[in-house]
Amino acid sequence: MSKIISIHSFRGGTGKSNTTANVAAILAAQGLRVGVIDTDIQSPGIHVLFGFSEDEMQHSLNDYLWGKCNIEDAAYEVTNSLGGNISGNIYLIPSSIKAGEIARVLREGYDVGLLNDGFHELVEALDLDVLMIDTHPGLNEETLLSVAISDALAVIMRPDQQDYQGTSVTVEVARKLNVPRLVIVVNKTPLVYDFNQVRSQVESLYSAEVAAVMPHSDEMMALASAGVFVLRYPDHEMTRLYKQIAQKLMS
Amino acid sequence: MGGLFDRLQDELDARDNKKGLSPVDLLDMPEELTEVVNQIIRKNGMRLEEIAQHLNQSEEEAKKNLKLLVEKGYVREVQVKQEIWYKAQFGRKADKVVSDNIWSKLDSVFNDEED
Repeated sequence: MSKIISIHSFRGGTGKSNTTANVAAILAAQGLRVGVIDTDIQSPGIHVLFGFSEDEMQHSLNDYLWGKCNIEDAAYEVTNSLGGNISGNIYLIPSSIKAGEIARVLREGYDVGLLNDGFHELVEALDLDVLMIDTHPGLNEETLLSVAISDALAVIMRPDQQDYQGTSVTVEVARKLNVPRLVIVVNKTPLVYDFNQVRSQVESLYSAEVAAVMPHSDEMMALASAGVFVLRYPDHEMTRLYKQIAQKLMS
Repeated sequence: MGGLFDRLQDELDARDNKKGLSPVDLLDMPEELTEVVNQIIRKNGMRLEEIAQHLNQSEEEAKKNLKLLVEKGYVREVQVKQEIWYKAQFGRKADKVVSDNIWSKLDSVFNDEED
C-alpha cells in the first residue's frame, strides 16, 4: 500500500529539502518507487539537489494547477542522473522556477482541490510506493493540506529557540489533523551539544519521537546542494542517520 | 443522538458561509466532523459504508454527519458507477497569502486545548 510522507519545518533553512531528497534516495535504493513533489511553490529548490535544470522542465506543478497538463506530465524520472546504486525509481515533480509563474501563483492562487487530486493521481499514475511532499515552511493552505493527507510527517527543526517555538505550532496542528505518524528530526546540531540531552529535551517537550539528532556536517555544507548526500557519502554517519529517519517514517 | 447533531449543526451554522472547504477549516471544525473530512481527503473520496466503518458508526449516523457537511458545502456527493461517493469540496482558489484568520484559528485551537 502506498504511503504519503510530508517533510515540514516551521522556519526556513532547517534542511527540509535535503532531508526529503536523502530519504527519497534511501527508499529508492531499497527498490521502492518514490515520487518527490515540490509544493514550495513560492520558493522552490529541491530540483537542484536532484541535478534537474530549468531547461529540462517542460511542465511543472504550476502548469498542472493551471490546467495546462496532467500531473504525471510534470513528473520527471531523475534516478539515472543521480549516480549511486538505486534499484528503485525517483520521480521529481518540480515547481516552476520562473519568476513570472511564481508571481502568478502568488497573485491568483490555485485550486486546492486540484492539488489534492494531483497527489492521489500521481500515486496511481506512477504506481508509487511512496510520495514525498517537500512543503513550504510555516503554515499555509498547501502545507495544511499536505499535513492532513499524510500517513507520516517529519518535522525538521534546529536546536534553536525560534525553531523550538515554531515546531510546537506544527506539532499541535499535526495532532489536530490526526496525522498517523509524527516524528521530529533535529538537524544541524552543533557538535559541542550533548545529543542525548537534545533528544530527551525535544521528546519531552513535544511528547513525540525524535527520529534522529543530526550533527552539523561540514561535508553536507561543502556539498552545497550539488547532489544527494547519501549517494555521495554512503558510509558517512549522516547517511546512517538518514536511513534511520527513513525507517522511522516507513514503520 | 439529537443533542450531538444539534450541536454540530449549530457549530457549522456559526461559521462563515464560505464557498467550499479550505484546509484551514480543518483546524476549527468540530472534532467529529474533522475526522470525517480528514478521511475523505486522505482517501480522495469514500463511500458511505467505508465512512461508517471507519468511524465505527451506523450508516444512518454517518449519513447525518455527511448531510451537514454537504449542506455546508464542505463535501459533495459524486456518482461513480452507480455508487455515491463523498469527496471534499475545496474552494476554487487558495490565496497564497496566508488567510487572515489562520492565526486566530490556531489561537482558538491552542486555547481550547489549554482550557
